[in-house]
Amino acid sequence: MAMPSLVRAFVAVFWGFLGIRSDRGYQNDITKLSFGQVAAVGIVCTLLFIASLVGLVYLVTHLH
Amino acid sequence: MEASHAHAHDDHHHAPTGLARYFTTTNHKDIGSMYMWFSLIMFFVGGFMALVIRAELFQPGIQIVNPDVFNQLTTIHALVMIFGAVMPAFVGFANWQIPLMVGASDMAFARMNNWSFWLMPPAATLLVGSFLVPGGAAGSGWTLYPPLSIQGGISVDMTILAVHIMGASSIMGSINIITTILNMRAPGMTLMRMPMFVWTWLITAYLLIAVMPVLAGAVTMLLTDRHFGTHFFNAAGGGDPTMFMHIFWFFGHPEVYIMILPAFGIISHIIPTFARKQLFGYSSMVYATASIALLSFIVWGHHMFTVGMPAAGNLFFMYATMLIAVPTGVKVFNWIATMWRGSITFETPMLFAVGFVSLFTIGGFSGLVLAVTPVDITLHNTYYVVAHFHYVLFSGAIFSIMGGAYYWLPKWTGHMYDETLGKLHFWLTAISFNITFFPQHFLGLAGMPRRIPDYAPQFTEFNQISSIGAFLLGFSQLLFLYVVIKCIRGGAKAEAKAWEGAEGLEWTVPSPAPYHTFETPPQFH
Repeated sequence: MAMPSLVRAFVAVFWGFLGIRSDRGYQNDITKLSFGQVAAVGIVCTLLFIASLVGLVYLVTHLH
Repeated sequence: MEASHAHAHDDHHHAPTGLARYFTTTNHKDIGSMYMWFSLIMFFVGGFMALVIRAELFQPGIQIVNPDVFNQLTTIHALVMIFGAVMPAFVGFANWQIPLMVGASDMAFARMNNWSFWLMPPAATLLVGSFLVPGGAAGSGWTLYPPLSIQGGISVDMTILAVHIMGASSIMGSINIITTILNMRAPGMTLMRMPMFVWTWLITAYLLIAVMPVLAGAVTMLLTDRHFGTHFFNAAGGGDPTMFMHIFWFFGHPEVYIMILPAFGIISHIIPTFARKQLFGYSSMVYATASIALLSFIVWGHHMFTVGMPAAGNLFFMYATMLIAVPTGVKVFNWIATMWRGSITFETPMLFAVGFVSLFTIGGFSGLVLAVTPVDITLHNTYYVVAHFHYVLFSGAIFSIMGGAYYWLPKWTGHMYDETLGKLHFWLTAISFNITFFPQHFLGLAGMPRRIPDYAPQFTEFNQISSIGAFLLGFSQLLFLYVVIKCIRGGAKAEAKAWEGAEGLEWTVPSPAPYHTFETPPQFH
């Protein structure tokens, strides 16, 4: 079943954060995703990333 | 990669000649050259200040400059090198190379381009000229922290004005670069087929537009604190100096990436050329660059671990900073993988590129050491930090600038540079750089503070080694000037494709690149 493009954008941005992308995945990205879509998901993921770091810090500072 | 284009009217231009040509020019190549020369001059001005600093630090005690002047020298050295040397050099590369690489006839806003450049000399004059006003130049450090920057004399106002002007120039330059890249690419050149240098500059330009206004806001608040009775940062009036630090470093940390992302771009061209292989993991490189740029906005607090942030704040910035090593590591891995099993030759640009990868990585590692909050609390404001950021900025940014200059000089001048002298320049630079800055790690670990003209006697030997290295490093750069002038005046004729393994549209036009190129957009395959 084809992956919805929003999910595909999240997958691409996840690999982007790591800085790695397989050639096949990359070819799929450039044919199936728009630049605006990736940029928007990138900003959302940055906010989620910040939230997860804040969550981690909260856990570390409250777990004793 | 092939391109077809017309050159029939390459040398037909009706621009003024002589000095007026440079005042009025809207040609991206002229403006690029002016940026490069401006940056080289500022590099020598800032380098001279560094040598006075190192001469003073050759032995303990006060010998050459008094502590006030010493602080002014460290402040202006940094500002000159950052805003006068490194940033304009990359803008110079952008002006010369981006239109050539994307197949555009010029930058999108050619007149604004002229203005962006001509704002720089007045700003530099304000900055360097501030040594001559009563009280001397700003001595607050390049970070302009209050209260020193509130208490300083008229030179602080001159510095603030200089920062404003250079910020305006950078923002205009960025608008120009973004518009050129997004709207003027050759047919067939999709975003994900752009050369890496173009990609890194596109992302850098967005970073500049995001953070330059923040710096402008911070220094404007300083200005109103100084003259108009506000108390944003003046603790005596209920203001908060720590707020300045937060605002400043929200600009300051992305600024670090502004100075290194275009360097990544240049290195990503040099290594494939001389390894005679395609860049390994092009898409990874693009994704990693974007990722580094986004992360650069959430790590500023690592410059402030000692100001007394809550433990949660320190932890957040520590984790975020350490995570930036992941995409940066991917880039270093990709450069090494590009070289792996390639037919490598070591011409001067490649030497600088390999030097970049090796030494920038050391700077990256010492950055990780400093990212650990408890370690940073010990090492903050010591020479360890000085060693760290010189490994990032000299063997990072400046090595890439030197490598890029040697790489594209044949395209710019039409002549091959003197390879023997180029290699000599590299080895003198690489060796003396390490003599200068490696011992500073030991000085920092032993507790020597930065921005202090005098020091305890046990630090003498390492300081002497560092100072000797600095003088060798400084004078070696005169060799670069000689090589460039020699290359402009003559030398072996450069082919259109000056390097066997080079790829890209810029290598399809003759060397030297004609005054007007790509008047008809090339077809990019």
